[in-house]
Amino acid sequence: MFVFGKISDEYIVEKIKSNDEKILLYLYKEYYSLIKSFIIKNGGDNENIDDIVQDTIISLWKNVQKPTFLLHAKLSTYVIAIAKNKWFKELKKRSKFRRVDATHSRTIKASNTSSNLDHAIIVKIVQEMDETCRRLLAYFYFDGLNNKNIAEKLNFANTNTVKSKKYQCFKKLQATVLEQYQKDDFI
Amino acid sequence: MNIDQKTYELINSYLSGELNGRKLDAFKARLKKEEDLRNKVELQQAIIDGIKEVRTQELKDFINKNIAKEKKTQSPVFKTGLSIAASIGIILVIFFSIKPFINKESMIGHNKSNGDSSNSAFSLNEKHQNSLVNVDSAIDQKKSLDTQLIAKAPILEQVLIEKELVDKKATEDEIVTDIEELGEDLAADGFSVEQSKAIIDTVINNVKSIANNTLSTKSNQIRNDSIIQKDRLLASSYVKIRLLSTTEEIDDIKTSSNLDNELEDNSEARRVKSRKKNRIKKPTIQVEFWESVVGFNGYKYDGTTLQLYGVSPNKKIALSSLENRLYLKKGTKYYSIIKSNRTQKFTAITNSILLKVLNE
Repeated sequence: MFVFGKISDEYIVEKIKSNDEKILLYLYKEYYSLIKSFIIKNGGDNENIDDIVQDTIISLWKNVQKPTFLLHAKLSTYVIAIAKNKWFKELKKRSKFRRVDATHSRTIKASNTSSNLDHAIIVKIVQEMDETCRRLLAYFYFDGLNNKNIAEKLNFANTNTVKSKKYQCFKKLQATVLEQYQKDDFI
Repeated sequence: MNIDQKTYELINSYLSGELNGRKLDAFKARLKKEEDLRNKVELQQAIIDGIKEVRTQELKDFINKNIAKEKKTQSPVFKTGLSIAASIGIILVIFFSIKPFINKESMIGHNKSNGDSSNSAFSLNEKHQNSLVNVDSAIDQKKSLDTQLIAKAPILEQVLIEKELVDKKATEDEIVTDIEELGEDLAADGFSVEQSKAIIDTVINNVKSIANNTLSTKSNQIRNDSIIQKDRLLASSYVKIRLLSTTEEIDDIKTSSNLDNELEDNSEARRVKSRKKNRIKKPTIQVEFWESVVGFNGYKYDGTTLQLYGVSPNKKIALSSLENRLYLKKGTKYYSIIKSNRTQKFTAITNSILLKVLNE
């Protein structure tokens, strides 16, 4: 179904809203050529395409899952609008790096390294945490699922269980992060 | 830095933008005052960013893993197989598309063949192939003659193909004649009578079967497939001819008429009367209106019937005769009609004196 058939925009939205990850593969294949031709036309090369396509599809996934999302145009129009933003953001980022002088460049590099270090620590801790907790927090913060949907997906008894479990998972994660920071302070 | 559930939920609401109105103002006021709360908000935001980052990577990995798996499924072997299958398909389509033209092309190939038996260009249709393979086998028995015979075979085939639309019998006769010519050629090339006869007998048998089976079928097919368009007779009618005479003739006739009354017994009067009768004998002519396949405009007049091409039966026409010449009036113009077994183009009369006479 996802490989050979062309499916409707409404069906795609429905699948995203129900958090069916298989639809991502269809979206990737369906819009790859469209996004690629846009990037190539706008000064990009094959190197950037995969990243931009993936980022675009994932942004679509996030946006569609928002409760306020309404599809007013063709999904392809929406997809190309996201890709356009992603690509222009990338170009802006590149031009900024070109304009800075060597000294300034070193400053930015230093500050970025520091910031990335913090972010990298947190990312590592999240990756290593208990899978149920990680999935629960991801569904809530990234996918924007409500407690009812999370309960269904993770086979929890009810929404209160989700609420309680979510707090416990976050508290544990925060404690691990703080613990890691404290360790680093001593190093 | 411990966080209670209430503060956690409040910070969540603030960061997701759900907090508004007085609650938002109150929270902002607290943020200004409470450093601990600011730190908690900052940390919670960083952790949420980390969770989002991990989830993004997870989804990207899911896409990459599955796309890679699909690409792997379509391994080089699979791709090669697919390419081969596609190529075979294309070749088959091309083959069946050009099949009707193969005979003609192979004919050219025969003419160019230099005696190589593998290049004997007997790759026609199956019937051709089978028959000509028999010819080959006969030739193989006489290896010394192989090259020469194959060089001649295409000529025979060319002759056969050129006579596709001729009657079967006529084709056969002509083929035999051609084979006899081949015998002469072989003799001229230094082959003995027995050798030539043996080859020719084999060739005649095989070629006759080709002629019977292949060519007759093919010519019938061509006949069946062809729609031969012919000129179409639209209408036919008899048109009176207006007899005209020069002034002298008219006077002569007038005089003759007077004499007719006065001198009935006069032999001259009888002659004139007889001449008048002769003129009136053919006052009409059969006119046929034809539609030409090639859009020809003209006529054909054999002395009895006037065939008009490109003239509508509804068009008003008139015929006049002057000094044993026929003139056609079509519209306002006059055209001279010449007696001939061939079709003629309309030639408009431009001579003003003649036009004046015709218009009288």
